[in-house]
Amino acid sequence: MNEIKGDIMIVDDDAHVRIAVRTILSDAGFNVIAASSGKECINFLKDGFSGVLLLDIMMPEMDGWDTISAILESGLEKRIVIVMLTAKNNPDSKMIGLQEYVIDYLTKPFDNEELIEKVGFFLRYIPK
Amino acid sequence: MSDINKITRNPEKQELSEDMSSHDQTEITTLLKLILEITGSHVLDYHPEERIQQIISRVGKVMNIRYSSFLDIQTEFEKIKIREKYLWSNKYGYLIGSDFDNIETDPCFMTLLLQLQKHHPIIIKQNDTSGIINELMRERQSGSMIMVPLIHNNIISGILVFFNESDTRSWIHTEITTLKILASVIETGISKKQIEDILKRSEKKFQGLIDQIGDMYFMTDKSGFLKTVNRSMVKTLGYETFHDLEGISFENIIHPPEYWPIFLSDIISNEGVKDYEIQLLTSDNHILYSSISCRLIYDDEGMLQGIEGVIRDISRRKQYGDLLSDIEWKLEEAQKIARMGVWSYDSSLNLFRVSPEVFTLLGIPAEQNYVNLEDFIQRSYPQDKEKLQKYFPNALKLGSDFDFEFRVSLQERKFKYLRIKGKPLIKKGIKQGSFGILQDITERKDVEKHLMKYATELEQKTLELDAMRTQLLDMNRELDIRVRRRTIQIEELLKQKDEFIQLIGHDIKTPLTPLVAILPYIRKKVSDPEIGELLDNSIEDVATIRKLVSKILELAQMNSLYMISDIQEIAIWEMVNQVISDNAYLIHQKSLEIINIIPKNYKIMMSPMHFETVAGNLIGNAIKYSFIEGKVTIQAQDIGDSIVITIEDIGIGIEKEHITRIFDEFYRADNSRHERGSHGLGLAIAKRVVEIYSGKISVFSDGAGKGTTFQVQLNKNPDVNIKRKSGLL
Amino acid sequence: MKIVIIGSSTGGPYILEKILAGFPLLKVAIIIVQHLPPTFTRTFRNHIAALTQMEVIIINENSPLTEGKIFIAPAGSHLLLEKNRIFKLDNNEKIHGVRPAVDMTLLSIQKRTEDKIMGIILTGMGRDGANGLYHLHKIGGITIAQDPLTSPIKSMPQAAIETGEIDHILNPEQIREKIISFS
Repeated sequence: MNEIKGDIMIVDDDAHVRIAVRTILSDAGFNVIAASSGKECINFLKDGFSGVLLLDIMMPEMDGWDTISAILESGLEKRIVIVMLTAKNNPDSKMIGLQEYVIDYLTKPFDNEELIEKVGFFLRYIPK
Repeated sequence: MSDINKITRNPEKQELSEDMSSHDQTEITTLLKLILEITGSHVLDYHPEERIQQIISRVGKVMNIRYSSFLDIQTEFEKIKIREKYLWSNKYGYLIGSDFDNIETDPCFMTLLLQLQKHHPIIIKQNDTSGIINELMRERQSGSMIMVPLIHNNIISGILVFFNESDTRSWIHTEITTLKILASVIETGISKKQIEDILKRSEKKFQGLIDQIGDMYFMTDKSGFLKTVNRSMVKTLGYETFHDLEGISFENIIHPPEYWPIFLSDIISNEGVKDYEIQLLTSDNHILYSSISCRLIYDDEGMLQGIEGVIRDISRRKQYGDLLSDIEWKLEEAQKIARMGVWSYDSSLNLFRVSPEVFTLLGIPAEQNYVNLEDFIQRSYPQDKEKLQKYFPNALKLGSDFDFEFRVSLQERKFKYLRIKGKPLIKKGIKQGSFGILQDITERKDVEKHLMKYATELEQKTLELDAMRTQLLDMNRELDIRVRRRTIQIEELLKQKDEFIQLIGHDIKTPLTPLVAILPYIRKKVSDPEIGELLDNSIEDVATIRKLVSKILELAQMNSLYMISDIQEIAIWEMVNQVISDNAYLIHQKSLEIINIIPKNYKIMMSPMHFETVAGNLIGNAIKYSFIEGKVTIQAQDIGDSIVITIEDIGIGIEKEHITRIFDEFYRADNSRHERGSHGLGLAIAKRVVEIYSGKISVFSDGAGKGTTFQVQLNKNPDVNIKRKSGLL
Repeated sequence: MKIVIIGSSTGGPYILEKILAGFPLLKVAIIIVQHLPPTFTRTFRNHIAALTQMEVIIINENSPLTEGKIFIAPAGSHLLLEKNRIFKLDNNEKIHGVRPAVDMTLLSIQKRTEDKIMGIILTGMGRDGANGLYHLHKIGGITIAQDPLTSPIKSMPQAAIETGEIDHILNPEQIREKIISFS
């Protein structure tokens, strides 16, 4: 069990992915919330979420990058670290300009171990 | 001539002489003296007989007077022989001997007699009874006389006259007259002789001249024997001296000798010939082409004396002539070949002179043997008549340079093309007409026509080609645009495809993700070994799916021509070792012996990822398809600019009917056996990767259960396009 | 002086911690240009500091470069070196969409015979670092790109490799060893 526990938000339009992530990370001791869209994510952020954001890219309406842009616009980026969790092996050019806000990039399907390790790792980066 | 003998021994002669007594003697002596005087001898020869004989014979010879007998002159002391009767010459206009009838008619005789009178001619009386003279004189009836000319230095200087004694008185009259006549005759003769001498002298000069001229001069007698020749003749005919030729018959120098009678008859019938070509024979039997001009020469009596003429060596002329005719022939031939004739026009005479070709060219019928201006015009093709009529006569008249073409009608509306060129004919600085050539240029015109046609065709073709070219250019441009568009399209499509792949990838990975994540989680929670095992299977399956998806997407990516750009130098041995260690579990499980005997220094330029893909697949297969306690050998060979890696196992092998399809996508040699982790893509991908590097991959197997050998040939320095699609890797 | 310049973007922090974990005091100056939001610079610095015995400093204007220290570029400004010794901050426009851009830092490096420079480009989006490494290589520096296979985002390492001026393509462990052996 990791010392640092924190909050993780999984943002993915696919329910099973959300469930899977939540299951694994919960089991690992993390507190996980799930958002099904960028919009929902923003809402959670507005609600005061702080922690690691596991952000899918390919989502309808608002993709991952749009979501980041929206977060930045709303100034909600201060207490989160953003990790992309995506099926896209190679990000497209929409990332340019936003890369400094993305601390890491994980591809699906992920290794449970890797996910757990990195999530713990990045939680250390959340400003208190 | 017994008479002569009779005459000679005649004592009566002495009587004669005694009868004459001193007067006679004196006279004889005087005559002798005279003779001496005339002959210029200083010695009074008391053997005058011989002297006179000499004189007479000499006279006879010089005068060319034939004589047949001498009459003896009986003087007081001795006999003097005298030749009589035939000593006469027409030439000198006097008679000596017979035919005294004409004496009186001869005007010259009188003068002669007068002359002689001064010199007191001797009258020798003859006995009636004896003497041929008497007889001759009696024969001749009265008044006969015998005269012997006295020649000294080829000049008649006197004459001995012998009278027939008959009636003295009348005789004296007659004798005086006769003597007078004789004198004049002799005088004429003398002067004629003188003239002749002058002539002869000038003839000598003439001869000298003749000798100097190049032409050959000759004179023959009436039988054709050469009497006189000049130096040129001697030399030209190759002889040494005049004597070599003089006396030779002309027949001997004419070739062929049989020609002589013909030649002679020609000369005689024509009174001579002019520029008559004959062939002469030289001393060394060479033939000399000659041209002879000669005339007949007669003596004073109109008798043919011989032939006199001049011969010219025309061998050179003949040569030249031959050459000329050769040239002429050649020219003619050339003209014929050039189908060209020459013409000249005399404007003052309005006369055309043409070479034979011109007739042919103008198509003038054979009967007509002249050409005039009208012929040109009338024979021309109707369309050209006007033009010709307009220009030709003027050009001729003005004597200007001209050059034009016109057609001449042939039968049946056919025609030929002629070209006429003219230049002014200038003689002594005055334009006297024109001259030039007439040439058949039909052939040329034909060629021209064809050329024109061809040129037109060519032009047309060129236009067509041009049009085609323009078309082609347009097409090219269009094609270019299309290609560009297509390329853009393709790129678009590729992009679309990649996006599609991404989407597909996403769509597959999305449900896969939970599976991959949850199953191990569930497994953790499950205590039931049976369920646990089932879950293990599921986890394995899911892992398979995951790998498969990954491979598929990799393959799809490669189709879009993504090139790996991390080409670097890799140590093959090391890379292979890594693959082996990746398969460690299975190797241990199957107790396989894996031998890596690739030389450690072997290096190639390749993306490590790609090498791993290929080696991983082939070694993985080798391990997978090995029996328990099998063996896999991996070795490599340097073949210059490539390295061949061999992966050999002694496992299940590949049957012949499968071997060709082994690299096909999704092809699995054994469809019944669902080998875990085998998706049939590995080899396809491996092949694709190898192909990117322009390498070769091949498989060998002796059949089922007999193992398999894979060979991969890779360039040490492949020419791989390191291109990277921006933003998509 | 031995100088190591590391440029990285998304995925960098994790890898950098891996690389620098347990670094002894090395006689080398390490400059890290990591794209991060300003709020995280300190945190990042702290984490790095906790890993290594080397002093980790967030760069200020005019602070000197010295060996035995790890220098972290502050967010929002380009980092330049003057005469390879003095740090300068530049607030001009973003390069390849980023500021700080490690290109600026690398391009400001001068050829000095007494200096040995190593340039490393790690994971990240875009092309930052490619030109810088090209330049560095040209003036005799050592150039390293992270193996794209080990990079969360392959973009930056790929771009660097494509310049053809990369000496080594290494995974994080190898990079670690390289830096240690460099010092």
